[in-house]
Amino acid sequence: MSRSPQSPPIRQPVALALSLAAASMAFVLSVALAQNTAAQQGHTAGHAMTEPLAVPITAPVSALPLSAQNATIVAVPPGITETSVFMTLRNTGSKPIVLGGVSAAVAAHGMLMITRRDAQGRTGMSEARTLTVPAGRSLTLSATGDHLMLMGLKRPLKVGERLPLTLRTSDGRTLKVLATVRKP
Amino acid sequence: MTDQPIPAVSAAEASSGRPWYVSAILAVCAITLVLGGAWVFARIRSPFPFYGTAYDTPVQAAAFKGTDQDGRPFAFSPATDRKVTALFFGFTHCPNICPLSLAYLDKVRLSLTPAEQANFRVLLVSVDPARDTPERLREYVTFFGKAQGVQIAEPALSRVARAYGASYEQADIKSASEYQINHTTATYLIDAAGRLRVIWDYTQLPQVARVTADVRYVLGSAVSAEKAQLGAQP
Repeated sequence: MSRSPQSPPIRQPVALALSLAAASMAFVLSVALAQNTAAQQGHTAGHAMTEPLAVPITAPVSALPLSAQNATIVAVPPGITETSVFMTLRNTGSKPIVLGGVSAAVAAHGMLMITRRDAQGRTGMSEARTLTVPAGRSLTLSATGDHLMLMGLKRPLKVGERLPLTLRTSDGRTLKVLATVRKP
Repeated sequence: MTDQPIPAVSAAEASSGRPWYVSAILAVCAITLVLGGAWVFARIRSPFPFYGTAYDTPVQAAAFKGTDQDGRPFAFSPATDRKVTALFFGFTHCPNICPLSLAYLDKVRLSLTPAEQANFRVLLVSVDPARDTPERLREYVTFFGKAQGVQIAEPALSRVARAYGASYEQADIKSASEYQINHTTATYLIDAAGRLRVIWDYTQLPQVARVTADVRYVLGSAVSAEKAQLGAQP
C-alpha cells in the first residue's frame, strides 16, 4: 500500500531509460546488420553454393542474365606479373549466378579472390572457389572486397588498353567482358 | 527485443497519464543530448574534425633504418626530418592495397601546393623483405606516383611494425616464393615534429579531398607550432 504512490515517479525514469536503451540498441543493431549484410552479400552465400544450385533444367544453354560495368584491370609496373580485376556484375535473372573461374589470353591463369580481415586487423586476400552474384542484385568486385586476379601476365599491359576476359559460371556458361587497363 | 519497451511505456502511461509520444520525444531528446555531448566532447579533445582516426595524445613515431628503392641506406628520423610523412606497410605482390594506397596518397600529394608538397612525403615500408628487393620497390613506388620504398630486414622489421602497432603474417603459403601476406592496412600521418597524428585505413584513402584536408591541417599546424616555438625564443 505504501509503495503504490511511490511507484509512478520510479517507473517513469525506468520507462525512459528502457526506451532509451532500446532505441540505442536498435541503432547499434541496425548499423551492425547493415554492415554485416553488405560484407556477406558476396562471400558466404557464394561458398555455401559450391554445388551448382542454379543449373537450369528447362533451358540448358540459356543466355546468362549477367552484365559487367566498369571492368578495370589494374595497371602494374612492367616487371610485375600479377594484377587485379575489378567490375560491377549485375544479375538480372531470378536465380543466383555462381562464378567458378576467370581467364584471359594475356595471363597464364585467373583466380577468384576474397578479402578478409582477421581478429588482429590484418587484411588478406585468398582464393575462393566461387563467387556468387545474387539474383536480381549486383556484385561489386573491388580492391576492398571480392575481386579477380590475373596471374602470370605474358606481357606488360599498357594503360588504356582494352582486353577480353572470360568469366565462367560453375555450370559452364560464359560471359565475355572487355576490361580497360587503368591506374587506380 | 523491440517489443520490450512497449509494456514499459504503456505502464508509465497508465500510471502517469503521460501520452506515449511525450515519452518518445523525451527519449529522442535524451539520445540527442548524449550524442551531442559526445560530439562536443570529441571536438574539444580534437579541435580539427579529422577524417582519419586522430591520436588523442600524439605519440612520437619510431625511427628506423633500412634500404631505400635505389639500394641506398635509408634512415627515417621523424623527429628531425622536419617533413610530414604518410607511412604505410605493404608488399608488392598484392596488386590491391599497395597500388591503391600509393595511387591515392599520390593524388593527395598532387592536390597540395608545390610548397606543401616539398614538406610532404609518402613512405612504403615493405612487410615482405624477402621478395621486395629495392629494384621491385622502385618499380612500384615510381609507377603509382612519387613515393619512397623501404626494405627493412628481419628481425628489425618486426620491431618497427610493433612500434607502429602494425602487424603482418604469411598466409596461403604455396612455396618459399609463393605466398600471400596478411597485414594491417593503416596509413600513419606523422607531423613535422615526428608525432603520430592520424591513421587512415586504405578503404578511406579514395576520399582524396578529405585526406588532403587532414594533411593540410597537420602541415599547417606543424608550421604554426614551429612559429610559436620560434616566437617564444628570444
